[in-house]
Amino acid sequence: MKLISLYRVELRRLLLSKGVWLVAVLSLCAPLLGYSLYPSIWMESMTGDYIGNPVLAGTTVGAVFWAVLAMKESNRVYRNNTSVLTDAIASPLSLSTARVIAMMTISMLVTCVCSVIYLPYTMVKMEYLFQADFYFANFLVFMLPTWWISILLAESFYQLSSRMEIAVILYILLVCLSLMGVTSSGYFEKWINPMVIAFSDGFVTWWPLRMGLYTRVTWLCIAIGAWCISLLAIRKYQKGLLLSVGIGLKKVSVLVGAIVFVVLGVLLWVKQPFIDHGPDEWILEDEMVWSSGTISEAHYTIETHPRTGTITAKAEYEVKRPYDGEAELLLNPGYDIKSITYDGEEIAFWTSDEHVDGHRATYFEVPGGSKNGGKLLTVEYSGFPTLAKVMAWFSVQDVVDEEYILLGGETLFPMTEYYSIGKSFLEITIPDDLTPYLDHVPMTEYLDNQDGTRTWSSECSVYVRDFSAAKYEMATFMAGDTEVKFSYSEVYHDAVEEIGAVQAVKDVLEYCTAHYGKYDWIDKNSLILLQKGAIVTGGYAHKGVSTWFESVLSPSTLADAEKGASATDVFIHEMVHQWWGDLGLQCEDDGLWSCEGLTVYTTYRIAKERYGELYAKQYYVDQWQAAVDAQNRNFYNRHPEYFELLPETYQARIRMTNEGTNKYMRMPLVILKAQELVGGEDAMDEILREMYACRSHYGFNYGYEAFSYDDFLKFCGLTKEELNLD
Amino acid sequence: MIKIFGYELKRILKSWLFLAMLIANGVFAWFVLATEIVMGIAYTAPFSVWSYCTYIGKTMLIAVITVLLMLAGYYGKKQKQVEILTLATPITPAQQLILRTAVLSVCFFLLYIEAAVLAAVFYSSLFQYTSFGAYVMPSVLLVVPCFLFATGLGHILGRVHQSLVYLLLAILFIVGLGSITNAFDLFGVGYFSTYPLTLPVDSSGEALYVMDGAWVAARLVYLVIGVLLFIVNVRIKYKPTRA
Repeated sequence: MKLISLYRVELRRLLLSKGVWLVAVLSLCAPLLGYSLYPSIWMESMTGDYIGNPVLAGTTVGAVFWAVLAMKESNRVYRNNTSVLTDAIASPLSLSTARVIAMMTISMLVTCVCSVIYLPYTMVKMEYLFQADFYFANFLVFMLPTWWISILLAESFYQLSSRMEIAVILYILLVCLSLMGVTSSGYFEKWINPMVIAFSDGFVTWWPLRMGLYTRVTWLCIAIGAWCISLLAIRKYQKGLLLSVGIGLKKVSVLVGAIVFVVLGVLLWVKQPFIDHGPDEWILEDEMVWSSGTISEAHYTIETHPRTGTITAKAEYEVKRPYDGEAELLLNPGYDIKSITYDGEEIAFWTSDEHVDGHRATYFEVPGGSKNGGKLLTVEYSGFPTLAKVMAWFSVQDVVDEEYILLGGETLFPMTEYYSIGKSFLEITIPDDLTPYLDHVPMTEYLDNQDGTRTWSSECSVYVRDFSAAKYEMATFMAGDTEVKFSYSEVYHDAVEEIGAVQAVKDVLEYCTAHYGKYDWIDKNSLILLQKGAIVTGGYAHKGVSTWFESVLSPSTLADAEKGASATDVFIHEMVHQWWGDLGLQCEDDGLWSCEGLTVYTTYRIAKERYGELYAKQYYVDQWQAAVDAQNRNFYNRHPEYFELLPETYQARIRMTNEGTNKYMRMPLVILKAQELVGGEDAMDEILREMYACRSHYGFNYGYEAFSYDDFLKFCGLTKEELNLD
Repeated sequence: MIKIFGYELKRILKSWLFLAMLIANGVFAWFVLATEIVMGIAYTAPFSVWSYCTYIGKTMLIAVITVLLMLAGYYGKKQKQVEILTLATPITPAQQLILRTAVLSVCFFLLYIEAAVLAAVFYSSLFQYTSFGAYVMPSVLLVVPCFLFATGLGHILGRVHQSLVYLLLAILFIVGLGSITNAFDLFGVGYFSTYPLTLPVDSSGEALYVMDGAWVAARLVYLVIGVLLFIVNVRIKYKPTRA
């Protein structure tokens, strides 16, 4: 029988099999695990929660189901002792091929059905953040190829071993390798559970998907190669493994296919362009370099290519005094230096193979040394920015995409300790619909190239920590005597309008400034409040600039009733954290006392001022009281002896609920009680003002202990007993 | 009669539907215990009568669904095809109905026992709690009227058309989700999880169990309606229909 006829027969047979339908239904249910039980994405975002997690859970769990089916189907003819008959009709090689292709066809149909089934729920939950192309791409990039890989590997293991139990053990071992990882940077080892750190809602980048696709293609090549090898091992003439392989080697086309795909897979793995090939840990260089070379001015001209994710760039240095001997330039390992010229003449350079902490060294020597100064040193480089291996587990940094660009440090221009640099200037060409921020400050000067790009220019520091460009919108307004530039992704335009975010920011700034003191990061009556994407870890604040996370405006955050009565109140809560939080007064977190208590209390006070006492009582004080009452009535809080009997999982759940109630409900009530005892709102405001004024004496950022509950009691002149709610 | 009961029971207990529902009931019961009941219902202990009855109410939904699915089978096409043979036997239609209801009650009871045993294992292993005597009376009042009402109504509707039994199943499923919180809550899930909140608490803060008069009356109403429906089913002359 021809392969196509066999394929049709196999497809029909499989579609009539109850086992296939069971696997299909189970695979369709598997994404449900991603919503709560099996979340894969580290950073919280709506796209991660409602697209990434379900798809990745479905990918992993579904892959196991398809593998079980593949092994069961391979074993079927042997189990039923019908192999003699089937072998007489068609060769086992053709049968295996037809069966695998038929299973891959069905898994493809199931993927399509799966994407359609979860579509309405995802759309409803994600609201305006939903992007259809991104949604479907996740299924096609992660789910389908992984299921195929799983089918091929399971089939291979069975063909190689001809024993169900051995095939299962081999498969489990490979799954364990993927789930646990052998090396700490085993991004590519994760064949069944693709690793995605973050998906951003407002600062969408497709690079996590592109990286995912690359790993899928790599593993698909390896799996096809392994499957081709297993075809050679199909038992023939009642022979064992080795003799069967010997006979199978006569099938030259299969042998060539096996070699080609395995080699291709290994090459793709080894030569992957996304993560550098440096060590897994930071290598801190303790050797100090004397910057004896001097550069009066540095000009960096960078052109971004969002379609390919690459840059081409030129660094020009006006060298006043060259360094004597071999100097070092550090660049991102993904970049290649095309040429280094001095005064128009090409000079020799060599690049190290070693990647350290996300950069690679290139060495060059100016002819004539320090006596040959006053000329122009030019470095031309280009390439695709790679992620430092040491950072691969933390975040996706340094991307050049059509809607989002993030570059910094050695991914922008070369760094050197051998030269001290006077002034630096940056010229960067990016798509014209993106707004650039250089070290969190908006760039203002640009030249429209009339080709869909703009070249932005600005003076910059010697080390640019962060260049980001996205589709930002900016609202400029006055809050008191401070000009505020409130920047957010244009995706949140409607949300900002709906919750009156601009007015809320104004209210928060005015209220907190009037009651607690001027915000630290305001510089010369100016403040930039810049929203950052979920893929960026950590916050940032400096004179005149403060960042805030995109999750602040996501529908799930705005619906969090613990933080405020309405979406606007939740937003206010998050903004108040600029005073009570890492960027203001850093509070100790002891499970009851933390920055949350002060923030919720302040949010309540702002709500009282905005909407009146009745509203504040109904939606804040009464809610706090109800939650505290519920906590007091909880069986395990009343009976700690039974709490001790519970398994750790339940204890952790209760502790977590209690902690939430303590921080967000009980502590605001405690502060409210303190307010009564110290003499009312004005007296409390004065205390909080004093606390805020002392912020430089507290907090890890300043090298001190954080502000504790005992400190709060001292400021209030109260004791713990006096503030006891029970 | 007893022999036929034995055959019918054996047939039903060996059916895939019952075995599947037995497994589903067990998994669901353990899930409810491990996720909800373990935390205690309405601030009471996980092993309080309130928590236990909420748990039984939830699992009873599966039991009622199982019984109605089996009952629907009695009014299905296959059964109608063999009706001509069964009618030729000395067993009257009324006896047959009693017999079938008895078989269904055994199935229902087995499902309840399964849930109760799981709860006993859960309580004793986790909390070393073994005073199960307090559960008997509320459980009887919860389970028996529920069974009689559901099967009585199911038989009546099944006689009209098999699909009406499925409709009843869907309605009871919605009712079982616990949106009704007053004494007339058939499965008691809503009632047992809200009523304790209205009660005074003892010195340790626990709402003690009291047999609410309105609830007992409501159970008796369901019981009487169930019995009446059963009597009506027995009394109505059976008219065989074409398959």
